[in-house]
Amino acid sequence: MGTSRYLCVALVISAFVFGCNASTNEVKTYDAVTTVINLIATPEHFFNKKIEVDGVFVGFHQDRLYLSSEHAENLISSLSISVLDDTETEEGSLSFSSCSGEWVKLWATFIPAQQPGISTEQGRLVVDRAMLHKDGKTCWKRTEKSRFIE
Amino acid sequence: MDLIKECGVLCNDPAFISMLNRARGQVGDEVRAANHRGSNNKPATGYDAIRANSPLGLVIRKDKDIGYKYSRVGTNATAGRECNGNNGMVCNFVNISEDDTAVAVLVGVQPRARLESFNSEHFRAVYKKLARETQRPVFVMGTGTNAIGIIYVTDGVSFTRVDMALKTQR
Repeated sequence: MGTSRYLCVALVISAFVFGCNASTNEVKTYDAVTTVINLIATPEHFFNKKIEVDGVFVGFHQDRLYLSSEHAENLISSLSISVLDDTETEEGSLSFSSCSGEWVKLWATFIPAQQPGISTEQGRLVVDRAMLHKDGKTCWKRTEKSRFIE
Repeated sequence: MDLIKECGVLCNDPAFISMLNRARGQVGDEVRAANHRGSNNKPATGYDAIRANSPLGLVIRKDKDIGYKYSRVGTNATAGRECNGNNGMVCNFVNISEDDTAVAVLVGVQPRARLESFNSEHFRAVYKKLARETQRPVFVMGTGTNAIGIIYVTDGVSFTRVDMALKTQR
């Protein structure tokens, strides 16, 4: 009787521990929380990593994440990161979502985009989800798997 | 504005219009290739993460031997600079505004950009700023949807549609 009670307790404890581990793994799917400045200064540290990054997103076919609203208003692209919005049409695209022109948090993968003579970008963000800081609501979410992420 | 005057001269030069048309073909091909998808909806040849869904451009230059010539298509021109030689890793960038031979910039927007987008104030502001930065007229062309064959020119202040059929007849 005593043994079965111990077994039962052990089972409950192990289920709790493994359960906690499983939920931790689910939450921890992003490798780093970073900034636009870090992505510009040391892009190689973030290549092919899933990251969280804050900034002012400007869409309307420009698709860039700026360091601040002042940089966005003045279109200072040297202090911004290119966002690769691979939605096929304008409808449902990140570019034309309510995220445009807003201070957002992006959950994205930073892919390398270096090719001298072809590209001035170091890398581009392939976004999974975007959240508006002003109300905490999700303003865009990927519905199809990106062709650029393995 | 001097730039309007400059474009006026350029747009009335048959050699420039001829080169602009050839450059349009080149940019259009590259934009379409960079955004092309295979039958299985996977990236096809040329479809790349660097240039997909990104405006691509080139610089048209005055050349003493052949009239005009254009540079390699890429995202450099849309950033107002050009890669003047590289070591395989890093470019030696030259600002277009400081290049005396550069006469105009041509940008091809993403295929998904519709004709209606050309009327958006924000869309226009991006290319007006590029014209002011480069101090050159910037030609902006559509590459897909209902904007294919459409071309606008901006000098940093105005943003007007160019009737290429009329220009070619001259």
